[in-house]
Amino acid sequence: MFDTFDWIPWTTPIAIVFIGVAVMITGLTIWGHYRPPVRRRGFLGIVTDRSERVYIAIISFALVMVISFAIVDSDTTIWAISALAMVVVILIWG
Amino acid sequence: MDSKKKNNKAWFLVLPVVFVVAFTAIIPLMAVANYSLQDIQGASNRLFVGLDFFKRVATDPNIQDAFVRNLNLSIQILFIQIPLGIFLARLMPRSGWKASAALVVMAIPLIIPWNVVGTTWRIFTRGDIGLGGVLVNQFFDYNLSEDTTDAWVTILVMDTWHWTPLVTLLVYAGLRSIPQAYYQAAAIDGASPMAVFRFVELPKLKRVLMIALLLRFMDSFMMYTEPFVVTGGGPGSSTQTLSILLTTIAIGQFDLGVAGAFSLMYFLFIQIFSFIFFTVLTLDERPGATKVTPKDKKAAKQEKQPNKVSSKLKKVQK
Repeated sequence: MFDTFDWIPWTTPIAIVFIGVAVMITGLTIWGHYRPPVRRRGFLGIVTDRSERVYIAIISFALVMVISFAIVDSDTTIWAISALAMVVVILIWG
Repeated sequence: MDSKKKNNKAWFLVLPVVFVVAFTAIIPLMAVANYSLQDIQGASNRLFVGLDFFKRVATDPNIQDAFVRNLNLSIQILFIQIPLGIFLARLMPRSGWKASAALVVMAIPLIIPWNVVGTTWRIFTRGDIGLGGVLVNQFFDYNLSEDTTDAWVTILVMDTWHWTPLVTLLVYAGLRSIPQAYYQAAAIDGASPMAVFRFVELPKLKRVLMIALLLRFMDSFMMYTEPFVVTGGGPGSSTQTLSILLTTIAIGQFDLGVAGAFSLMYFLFIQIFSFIFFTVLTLDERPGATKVTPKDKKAAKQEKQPNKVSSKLKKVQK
């Protein structure tokens, strides 16, 4: 099984990201089975369920990071912390 | 709110597709993601550079220009092809041999391989031997290898010729599925053709148009073969799409780290645009999409308040 991934020049951060995504999807599936998600309308203005908010949060996080990369001499850490705060806000009130 | 428990076991039927996609998309994506963080010199010689390549891509003026150019191209393509596709679909005969003939003629551009389309148009638009090029040159000076506007318009016209039939066929299928009763009802009400289009056909075509819009946007945002064959991205970089630039970086310069970061950001923007299109177009159809107006909220509050009072009354009575 591990030979399948041998040709990829692995780095720890990317491995963590992909394992994280896999764990998140599995976790959401199990959570969704025991506590079915409730669709609701938050400050985003559209009806979303739990996993849709997770998707929106991840995409928004990535977008904010790309914007921060485009700004010369921006502090990546501060942007990442702000983006994480935004993720939490979207997940709870989105 | 929809709090009914749903059985989602049918999703397990999607698993075979997930495995196929894993091998064709997710595993290669893992490789790309790993390339984006490293400067790879050789099989055993690689240097971890963190987010440097992402910063380099995001601040590169060539890539920024290509992004704006490609977005501009996609928007123009959508504004031309979607209305034109609807217009042509409404003109197409609905039954008889004429319908079959029209369908075949419409489908021809779609079955031609993309590089053949490019080559055909490359020859067609030549000023010396191309039918189109010679014809246009009779009226005004046309040379797509020197003039940026000529090159841009040629790409637009070629893509319209190649892909409008897709929109037309999708819309045609959508129109055919509208029950005749709707048209009869509209005729009884004395609706004008414009009103029939606006209030009967357009709402019924919404889902089909969403598919057409998504397909056309994604295809045009990833367009590579046709402009590469016709103009090679030139003159200068006036028709260089994001895909052409990405290929130049990845294969021409063999700069895999930068190309990896570029690919991931490209992927992100396609995700964002597709999600926005999909959400906007399915806004009314999303399950549980009950519209909560401020009036409803007030009514709900007022309903709650008497309950409070009555519960207090009950306590007092006790």
